[in-house]
Amino acid sequence: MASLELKKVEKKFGQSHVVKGVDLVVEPGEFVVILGPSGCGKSTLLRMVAGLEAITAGSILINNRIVNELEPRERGCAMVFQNYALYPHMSVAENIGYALKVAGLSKADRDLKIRKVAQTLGLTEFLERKPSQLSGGQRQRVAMGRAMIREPAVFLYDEPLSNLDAKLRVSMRGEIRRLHQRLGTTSLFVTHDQIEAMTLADRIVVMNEGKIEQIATPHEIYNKPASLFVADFVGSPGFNLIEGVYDSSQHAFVGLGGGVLSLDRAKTPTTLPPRLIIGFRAECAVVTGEGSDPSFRVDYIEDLGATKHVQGFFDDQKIIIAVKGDEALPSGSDFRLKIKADDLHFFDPMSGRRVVQ
Amino acid sequence: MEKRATFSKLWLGMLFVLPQMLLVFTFFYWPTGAALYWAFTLERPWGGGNEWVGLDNFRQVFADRAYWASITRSLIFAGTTTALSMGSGLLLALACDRGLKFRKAFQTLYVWPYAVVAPAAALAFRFIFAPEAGLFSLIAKSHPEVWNPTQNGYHAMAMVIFCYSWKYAGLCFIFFLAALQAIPRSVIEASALDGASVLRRARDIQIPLITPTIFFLIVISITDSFQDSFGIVDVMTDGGPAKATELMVYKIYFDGFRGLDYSGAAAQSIVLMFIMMALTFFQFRFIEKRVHYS
Repeated sequence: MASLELKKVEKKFGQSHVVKGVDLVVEPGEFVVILGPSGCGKSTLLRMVAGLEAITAGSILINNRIVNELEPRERGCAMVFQNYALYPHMSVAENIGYALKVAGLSKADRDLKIRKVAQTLGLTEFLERKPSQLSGGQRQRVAMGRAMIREPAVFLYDEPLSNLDAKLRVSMRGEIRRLHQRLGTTSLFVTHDQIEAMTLADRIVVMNEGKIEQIATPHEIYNKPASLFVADFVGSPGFNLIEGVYDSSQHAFVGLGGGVLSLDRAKTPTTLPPRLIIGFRAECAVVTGEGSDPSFRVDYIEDLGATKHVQGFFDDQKIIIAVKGDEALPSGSDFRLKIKADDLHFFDPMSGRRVVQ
Repeated sequence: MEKRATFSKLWLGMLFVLPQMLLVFTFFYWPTGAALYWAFTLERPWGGGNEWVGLDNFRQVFADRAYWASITRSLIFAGTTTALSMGSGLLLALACDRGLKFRKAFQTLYVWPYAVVAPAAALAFRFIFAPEAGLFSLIAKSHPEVWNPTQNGYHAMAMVIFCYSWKYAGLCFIFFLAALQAIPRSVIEASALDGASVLRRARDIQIPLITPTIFFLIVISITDSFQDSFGIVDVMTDGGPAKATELMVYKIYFDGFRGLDYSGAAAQSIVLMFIMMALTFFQFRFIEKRVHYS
């Protein structure tokens, strides 16, 4: 098991600054997922670790050894590509065993290892086939086998599941997770899919516009987003963000339209900026029947069977609430919202960062 | 079924096909037919009728040792020029595909030779290689045994082969480069991560993946070498010295238009046509099996 460390890593393609100083330490055996929207520099970061892209500034260390100048093959990384990148003219066995062949292993030794890997991945019966004769999921497995057989120091995954259909994606996700539990290889996984990130990661790195927004466990990312971006990007149906001001005299939040939300003194940060964005997850709000103090007006309802997504307005700002199946909420009617103090998040609109306790 | 646009009137469709058919007929079927006819008759050099002689012309051609020599020469020429032009074209394409510095400039430069018409290229090389004056005259003067294409048949042949390969390397280069760039980048990257060096990648990944292009280039450059060599031979050596560079196509021209043996030349061109057909058939039959079409 190897450690991986990135120190102030930067990447520029001509004028465009793609990665703007990334610091990251991946512990030996850890599974870290880099999550971000397309174009945030996450794939570039991964390719720099692999050695497929030169580093503009900073340094990358694998097992405490600087690898900036090393060729890809000298770094000990194996990579699974988004489009699998299998060698189309080679059989499955040749694809998996190519690295060993290049390394000069004898045919007998190679075959032994190929069989073992194929067995792990359930590919034994396909060893003689060409990649074009395989389904998407099988190709994906061959790509994993090709990476596994080298027993790499670091496993790199570049959106490996995004070409699969939804069902297969879920089962491959499980396989990757199981594989990691068994092999315990240090892994870096890039994706734009938050479900993948939440289910696979020991820790998630959320990236936006070439910078890291937050590094934390999936639980913490979800429950304590460090910035407006993370809050908005992670979680479905969404994070409600309402802009307003803090009224210290009545210790309440006053929305831009005048709606008032009183705050629990014990559970709010002691120093709040005068201008404020409060946020809460759609499923954290409870609707408490009609009241004279209208704070939430129902616009329309999306019924998903198990839950209903209620689209509406708090104080003229659009929000969404998730409620259990059978609550009747006629559109146009007004309700009150109840949100537990623990579920309320405070952000500084200027910096976009979370206001910490 | 594919949807087709059809013409409501037959004559309208025919009208559109006519110009192309006219060209094909005038420049392909008519000459071929005429050659076929001449090959079985004896044409009088100054015109005025001909007489049917059956296979006499072919018997005469095949009995001629000079003709067999020209076939051997043409085969050697086809083999060496194809190997040379494809080899150098592939090497240059692999280098350009690597994205080295000034790639764009080289890319343009390498294609140019193909745009030069054969006689012009031949003329330029004739001056370069001439033993009396020019670049190679320095060697020719001090060591005539090392370089003297006007006297030494091997030197002359080497010169013709070099000139032809130089021209066709540009064509091979552009086809190879296009094929190499069609290989997904990630496949190359995967092999780099698998530990393959640049040469190993070329051998194990890139070349196997461009076999359709290699096959195509083998077929067209062998075929072309039988036909397109005329201009170069005519300008550089006139088939000499002592017929050492007399390729099949040049011999047809020489016997027909200098020797005024139309019938013999026609028979030779029919033989040439069959050799080219046989070679192409052979290639499709045996080499194509090794091609990976994805």
